[in-house]
Amino acid sequence: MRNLAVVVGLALGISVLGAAVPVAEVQYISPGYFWVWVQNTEPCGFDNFKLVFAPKGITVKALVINGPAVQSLDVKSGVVKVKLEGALKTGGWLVLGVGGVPTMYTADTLLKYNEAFTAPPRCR
Amino acid sequence: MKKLLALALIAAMAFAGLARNGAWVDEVVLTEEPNAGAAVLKLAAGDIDVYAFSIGDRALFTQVQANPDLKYYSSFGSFNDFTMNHSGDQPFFTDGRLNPFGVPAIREAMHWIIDREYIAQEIMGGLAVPKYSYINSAFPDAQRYPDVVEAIEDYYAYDFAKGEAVIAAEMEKLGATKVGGKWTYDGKPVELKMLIRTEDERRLIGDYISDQLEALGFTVVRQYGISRELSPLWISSNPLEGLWNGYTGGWVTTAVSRDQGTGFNQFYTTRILPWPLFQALATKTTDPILDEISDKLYRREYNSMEERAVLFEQALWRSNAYANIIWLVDRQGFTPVRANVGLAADLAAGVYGSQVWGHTVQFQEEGAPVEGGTIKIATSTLLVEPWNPIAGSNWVYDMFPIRATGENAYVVDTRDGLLWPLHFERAEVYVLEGLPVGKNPGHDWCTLTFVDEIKVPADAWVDWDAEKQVFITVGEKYPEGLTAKRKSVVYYLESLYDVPLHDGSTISVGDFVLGMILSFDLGKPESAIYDEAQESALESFLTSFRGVRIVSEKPLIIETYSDVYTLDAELAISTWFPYYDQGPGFWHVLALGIMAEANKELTFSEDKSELLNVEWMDFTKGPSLPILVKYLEEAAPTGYIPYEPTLGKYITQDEVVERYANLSAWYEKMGHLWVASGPLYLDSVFPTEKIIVLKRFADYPYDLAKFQFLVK
Repeated sequence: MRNLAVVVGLALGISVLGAAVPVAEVQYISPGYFWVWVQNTEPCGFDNFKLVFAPKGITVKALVINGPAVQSLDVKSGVVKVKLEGALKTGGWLVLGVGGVPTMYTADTLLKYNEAFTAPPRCR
Repeated sequence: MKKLLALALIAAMAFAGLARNGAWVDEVVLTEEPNAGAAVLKLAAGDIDVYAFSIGDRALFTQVQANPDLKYYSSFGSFNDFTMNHSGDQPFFTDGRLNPFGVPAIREAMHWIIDREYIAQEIMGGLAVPKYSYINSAFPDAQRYPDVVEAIEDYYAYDFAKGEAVIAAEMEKLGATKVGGKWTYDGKPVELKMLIRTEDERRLIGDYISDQLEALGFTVVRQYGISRELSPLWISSNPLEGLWNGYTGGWVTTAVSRDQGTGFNQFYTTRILPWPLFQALATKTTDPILDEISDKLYRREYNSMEERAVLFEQALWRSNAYANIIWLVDRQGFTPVRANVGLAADLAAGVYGSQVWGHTVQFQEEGAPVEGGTIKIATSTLLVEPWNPIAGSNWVYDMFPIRATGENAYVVDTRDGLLWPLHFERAEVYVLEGLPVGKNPGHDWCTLTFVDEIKVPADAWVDWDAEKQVFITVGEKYPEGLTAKRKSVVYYLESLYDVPLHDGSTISVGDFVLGMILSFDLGKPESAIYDEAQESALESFLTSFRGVRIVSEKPLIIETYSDVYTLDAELAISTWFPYYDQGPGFWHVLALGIMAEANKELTFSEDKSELLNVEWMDFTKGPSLPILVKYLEEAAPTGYIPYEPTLGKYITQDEVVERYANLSAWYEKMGHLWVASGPLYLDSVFPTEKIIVLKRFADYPYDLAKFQFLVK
């Protein structure tokens, strides 16, 4: 029954709910330091982002390119919460400078999820 | 103070020679009364002693409060919802009819169409609070994430115009047009079939939602009925057949839920509930992040409370957007009883969801238990679906009597959802340093130790070869070694193997090992009893399961390794006691079901019974019984042991002979095959009259004073 439902679904082209804002790239800079590039590819703006890093004791700085200023930045147990003063528009970039990363982590393993989570999570 | 009183009571009873094994009462007679008003009248007249249902009617509450012959138990874990036929997220049924609820955006818009405040205040008379997401307002997660709860309440507050605009836009995308204020498709009105439960306020809720849908321009057909009349339509039929569109649902949390993160997998993915409605969910395709996060929360695949908060927030928003279920209200229900009745009612689940009502139900004189008597209990409905422990009925009305017949290795505390050991003496829990796990005061039976690493022994069982019917060890599957986030060690009582079953058998290690096997076998395509509905559950289980090892058979000591842990150490123990999701299951009884399913004559799950077009297995009544008895007659002379290559090492031929002989005698005497180990046994079932009779199991091994501290 489950397979039948999926097959029919694909044939009719079911609607897909929007994904989270994707992390475009994780860039290795120097030992223990990375840049994380987040681009808003959704058709609406978001003013809050949460990223989950694998290492816990990291330091983070946040910057928005051509967009609103960072209102608050909270880093705890590898979870980074960024609140902006306004919405990051479609196409806008949020850049995180991440330091204090143990050398065992690479650009591929730095993040637990390759998304910047927002709440609400999609455009309405 | 309460504990001291309980100890004093235990001591007093011991001196007075009042210690009693088996239930306090001699007999429980369960009947059906769908009407709560009529039930309260029967209580007042003394025709029944307990009405085991969570009532949310303000007028009846006042009536009960005013009657000195009656008292009541309050509970906070029941909730109501509006379930929509998601039809696998397809906007059309297989016969071509338009199903608006196949569109997630239309389902989500129903949040704005339904005024939860109206339901809570006007329909429920204030005995409910509006519920905007899966979080229960009385449970700890509501306190952990108040900001998220508030944001969701704001976002999804009643706004008919907003909902109507979303629905209109989506309907037009589907090619529907509004003619004379009515939605039409292909020249015909768009008809929605509403299934409306009639036992409680859901009748009014269903009418209210139907009115709202008509105000939107839909043509609504209202079908009223009680649970067993409507369940074949909403939960058992293939959603794509389109036998219904909306249903007035209700759920009961059967203990205080200290971690609601496990619920998303149940309601929004295919991993937990085996019924067609949930097996057809398309979450994996429509919102793969919700699907992934639901499983991570279920398996506690997070390393800190901060990470959990991110996942929980996403799960709440995304599940509300997916909206196959719209949560409506948390009920603040009450269960009325005669004033001379005492029992352990659960703070969340009330009486009908209490795990220990059978251990505690009693007549009282001046607050003290009285031995004996027949207690008459009515519920709103009885005998809804088949009873089998693997994938039988999950209806609270079926599980209510089932729980009184059986028990787990522990007792669930009806006040806080924590556990107390019953068949085991103590447990040790080890978790990796830094994980968010805590210990609760007063639970000295459990120790918690944080460690840097947990290595899984090479001889632990980590998987199952369904073809050869042998376990696969960690050394075989992971020669490079394996680690886990959590290890639990459970030390059973020396007297475990003396615990009697209702048919005269005693518990054996074979019962435990069969449970371990079935954790894998049903989801393996090579198995003779493979069930497709179990495959995603096994996939999820294997993702985090790291091994189990029987350290000692006598006394029984079991180590379990897993990446799943719980926030409370006391809940992180894996007992492997032969009590399955839907009740007690001992190897010689389950063997008959395994034989019948392997020969495609019966199936444990409803989903598979539909697939094979055979009967859904029931150990208590109906057409299943002659088939199961046929296999009993075959198993006894041949000495059949299921999964013999493995179980044969744990079950002796003497045990085989004794078990089947006991079961045959039990069937001869009782006329059913429901064998359990709890304080009450199933004496008789009358499916037509809707009556169940339970009787005191005098050989029950524990003094019931043990549970008295939970009685109110």
